[in-house]
Amino acid sequence: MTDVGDLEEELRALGRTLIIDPPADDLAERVLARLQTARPGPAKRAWRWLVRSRRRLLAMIIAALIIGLGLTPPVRAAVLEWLRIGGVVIKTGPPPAVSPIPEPPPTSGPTLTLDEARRRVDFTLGVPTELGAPDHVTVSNDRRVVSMQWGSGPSRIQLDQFDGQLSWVYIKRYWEDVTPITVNGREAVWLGKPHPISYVDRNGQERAEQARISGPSLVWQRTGGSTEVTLRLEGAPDLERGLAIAASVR
Amino acid sequence: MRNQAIGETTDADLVTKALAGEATAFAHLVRRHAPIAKRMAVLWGAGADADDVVQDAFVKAYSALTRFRASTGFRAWLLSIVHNESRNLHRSRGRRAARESLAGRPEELSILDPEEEAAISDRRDRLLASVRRLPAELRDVVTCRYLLELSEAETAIALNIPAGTVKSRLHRALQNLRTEVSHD
Repeated sequence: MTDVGDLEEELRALGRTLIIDPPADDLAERVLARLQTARPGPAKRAWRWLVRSRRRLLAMIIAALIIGLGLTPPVRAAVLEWLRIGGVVIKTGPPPAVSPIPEPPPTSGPTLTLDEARRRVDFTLGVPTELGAPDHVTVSNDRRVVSMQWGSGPSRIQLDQFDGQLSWVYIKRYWEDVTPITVNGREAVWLGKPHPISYVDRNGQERAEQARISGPSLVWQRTGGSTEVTLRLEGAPDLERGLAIAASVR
Repeated sequence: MRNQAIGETTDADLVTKALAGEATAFAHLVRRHAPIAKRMAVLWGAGADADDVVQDAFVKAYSALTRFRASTGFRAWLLSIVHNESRNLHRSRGRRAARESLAGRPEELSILDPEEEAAISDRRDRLLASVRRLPAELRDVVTCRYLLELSEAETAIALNIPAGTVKSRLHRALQNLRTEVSHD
């Protein structure tokens, strides 16, 4: 006679072994597209909100046209807006055939001291007390991005900071790995899997030569001086560690 | 499992933001809960229409968002909508389809591990067949509680039945399955 407890376990195990295809990659986009024409209540409000934000979105839409999803403009706007944190835009796409392997971020430009880096940019730099003084500090040639690095090899941690305007485009290709979180009470995201990332220059052009596969990363915002600074932390082993580092930025 | 302790935005907070007009927040809810919604739709026999059922369910959820109560839990509330949508689908398909439905059609549910011992996979196949033979009301609670691993409270909300009914149906279903499995 089978024990009831065993049978319950067996049924749960059965549930876990059933193969069911994941939802379509563009499900969220399709739902959003339909909400704009859906019935009263929040739908209409959301639509108005999207229309209002169209103006400030315009430049970003241009920047992100490179990876067209074949969607109509309002839908594209919605897709972009819901995946935007400061200067970072996250896009969904079909999963790649093979898992991408993260490539370490390039070390570019001469190593500077923190003070030298501070003088070169218009926003206030933060440093995570959790990691202490960085081993390397560099500023991009266009003086928009400050990168700090700690350690080397696979355990290297990199923190990029930039004015929270239109600076980067992330292209996310996994469906399930954008985790919404809160850092200091503000909206942030954790990208738990390797993902393609590319840089968008001042003219809104994506720089293909600077595209690479990023490791898991945390993206959040803080107010630095009079500007909104976007921060992107790459190389934290998990979300918990990433949040501890993010919370310690002073 | 989601870890709220380390700062992940809760469903309730996302709903509040969605009600304030943030499409972003609702999109997060879609992405978070679409996988289990799809599993439920397939287990309820939606087959090739499962993605449509899930999409319709989210659109309806959005329209009804002002009626959502945080105490219900977003997941269970959403699944109750998926359940209704699946039933509507069966109605529109007619009787023949309805017979094939529930707990999925065999060809859509394959067992995961081909390396697994034949004896174990054979037993699972037979258990799945036994679940499928259960009367509909018992099969529903078994599907929610065990195959989808919802709590008893969530099962009650998803199926829109009282918690006590969930308990008694689960009890009957397990007795029923236990007899079948031990006779095999």
